[in-house]
Amino acid sequence: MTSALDRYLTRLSDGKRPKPFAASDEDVAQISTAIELAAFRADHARPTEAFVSCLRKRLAAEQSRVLIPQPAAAVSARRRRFVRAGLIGAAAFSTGLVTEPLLFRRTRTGGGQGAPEEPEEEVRPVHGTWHKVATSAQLAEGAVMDFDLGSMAGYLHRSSGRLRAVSATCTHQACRLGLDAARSMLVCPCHGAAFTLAGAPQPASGYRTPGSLPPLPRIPVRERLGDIEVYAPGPHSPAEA
Amino acid sequence: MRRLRLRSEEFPDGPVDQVRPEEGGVPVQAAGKDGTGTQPVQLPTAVYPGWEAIYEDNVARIHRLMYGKVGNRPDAEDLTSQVFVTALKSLRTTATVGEVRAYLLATARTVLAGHWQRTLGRQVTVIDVDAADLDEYAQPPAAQPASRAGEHATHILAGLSERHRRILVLRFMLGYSIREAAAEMDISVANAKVLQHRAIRKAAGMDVYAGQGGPR
Repeated sequence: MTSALDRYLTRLSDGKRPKPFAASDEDVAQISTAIELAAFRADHARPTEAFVSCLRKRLAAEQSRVLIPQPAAAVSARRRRFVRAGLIGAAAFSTGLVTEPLLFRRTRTGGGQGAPEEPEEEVRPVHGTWHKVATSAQLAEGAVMDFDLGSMAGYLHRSSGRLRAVSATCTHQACRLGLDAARSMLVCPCHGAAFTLAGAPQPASGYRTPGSLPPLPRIPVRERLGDIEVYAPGPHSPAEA
Repeated sequence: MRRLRLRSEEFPDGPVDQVRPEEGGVPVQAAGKDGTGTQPVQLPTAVYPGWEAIYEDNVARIHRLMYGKVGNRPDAEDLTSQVFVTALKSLRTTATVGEVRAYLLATARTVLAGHWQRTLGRQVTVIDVDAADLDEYAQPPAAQPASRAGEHATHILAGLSERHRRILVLRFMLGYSIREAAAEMDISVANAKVLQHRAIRKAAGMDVYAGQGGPR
């Protein structure tokens, strides 16, 4: 009577991890039925706080080891790519096949090159170049600093080991954003719009528009030889090899 | 018309490039018309501000999905972890919410398939990434999952006798131990085991008494 299937179902109904065994078609039918009944238990469907917290820490540790170079706000190129990805994704869903991460690109580092390796994902100034805006030592973990190259102004931020650069120009009416260090936000002096240091508009900032504010454009940024450089219009900087 | 709803309160940090909802949500669209073919599914166009927002917005959804596919919390937690560990390696945070969710679902499907292959050698349940699944997945975690799970359970139990229905409800839906269920039904533990065995076979659409030595 106590077959592997019975033990499996007993552990399942007890909320424990069932033990593997070589299942037959009949076994599968009964197990899938039991799973459908067990799925009714909404209290078990919700993850525990302990699990959510533990997994968050694990992912944070892994994310800090993998720097994902963020493409610039290549709006037009991004839109085209997303349209393409959407079409491919829809086809993949309809066929039940997703053979590669169509929507995302794995980070590739190395090769001694600081420049982004997938330039088609970025919109760069036609005559842009890399400009040194700070030294790596100036921007410790958690630090924020602004830069102004004349043609482009922005904020640098290092968080969880990741370096970001976003525009300092409000996407509402192009006012120059200021840093509200107490709130860790970039705030527009004209109408009060606020953005996270990653460039995300903050709906709770008190400013409302009929639609939504676009995020702050990202600026290509890299670290090389102890310097932090951004890609911006202008003549070649001394840092450019 | 089904609609995928994106609620502002789902994003504590605020998504980038966000289409602000009115009345707490953005109806993003549409999935199929009866008898006239399927329309393309319009995915939400907001963007997460970072991996943390992706995680916070989706961890309960993925766990709920996995629990519904494996029926126990330990496996659901393991599979949820696998999904995020795998997906976040490749995530580009400028992808839209809809694209992130679709990718997580696709990853979850692969992870679940691997789980069944390793444990039972057969695909017991699958994640069917069609518009209906995406629609259900997009529902906020607070709205879960009793409706659809309840419908499935009701359907499964509908053709059973009262005793079969009761033992399955007690054991699988309410989480009673075999002893507790036996006490509740005022039968012996041995009888409760036999009753559960036959009830689950019957619920699975199998001949209850095949190989059982006659009806009870």
